[in-house]
Amino acid sequence: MDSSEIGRTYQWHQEFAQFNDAIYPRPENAFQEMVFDRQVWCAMAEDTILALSYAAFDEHENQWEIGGLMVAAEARGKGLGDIMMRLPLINMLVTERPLLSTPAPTIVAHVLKGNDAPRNIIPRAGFVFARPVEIPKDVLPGLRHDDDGMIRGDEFHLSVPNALNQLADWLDQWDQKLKDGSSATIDMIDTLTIEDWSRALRSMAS
Amino acid sequence: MADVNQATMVAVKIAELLQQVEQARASRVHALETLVGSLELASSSEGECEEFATLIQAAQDLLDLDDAEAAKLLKVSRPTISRWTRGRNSPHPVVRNAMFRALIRTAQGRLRSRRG
Repeated sequence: MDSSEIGRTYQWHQEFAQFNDAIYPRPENAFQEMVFDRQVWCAMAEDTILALSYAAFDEHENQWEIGGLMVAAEARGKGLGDIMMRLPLINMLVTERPLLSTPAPTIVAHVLKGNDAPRNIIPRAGFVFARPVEIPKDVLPGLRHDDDGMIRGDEFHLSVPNALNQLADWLDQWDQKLKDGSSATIDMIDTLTIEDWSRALRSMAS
Repeated sequence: MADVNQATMVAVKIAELLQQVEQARASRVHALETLVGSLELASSSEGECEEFATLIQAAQDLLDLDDAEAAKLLKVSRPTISRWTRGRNSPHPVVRNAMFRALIRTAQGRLRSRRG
């Protein structure tokens, strides 16, 4: 997502989170910083935002998180959730090769308890259940919490090296179309192809 | 008389300035040519590039790209550029060489405009 779209992207995020308490409504400054830093991915049809997600590194926790998956109601059923989960993940893996770091960071996705929407998507992207998590509601205000004031969810970790081949397999068979047949173009530098991504992933898995 | 001397001094200073500008321009052209050569050489390898951080930093300096601009050019995140130039990590060689090709193209564009 380009930084010139900061205002519009934040507004879309806010409006989506307003009606979905399984999505953490990030404070404006924090969200805008993510957009400015080009950490937010966006699916667009012409000039309309259809879906968002992000890949962000927490240096303190030594952890990459793929998250913030949001798909507009009118855009569901087209496979956008799977695409928007995989693309930031793949891009991060091949541009930063976190698995070569010492110590290697964990690569995680979080899902709120009771939020079933992403629970099929996350394993298809190569994540496996790691542990339940719970945090006080004040840490992430606006996110659904239990009566005791605790937010409960599940943490998934990327399964390495299986996920790398799994993601490469997906790239190899993806015809760059959505389920409804409409074409999907990834905004990559034109010196790079998804075949390059697949080659890099398989090389990293071996 | 004083005015003539003043005017002469200004003319001399401007001539010196123009000479320095021309030298700086030539030096810049030479540096960009060296950058292109270095990137071409580095992108011909499919192995690890020990000088990756240095090359990215040099490209940023010579192409006047801050981290945000470099990120936009290479379609990565700004923190990714920062981690690259600090030597924290680097892209896979296949991806790295694609990044180098994009930087080569940008540098060649700058050379064309500088050479007029």
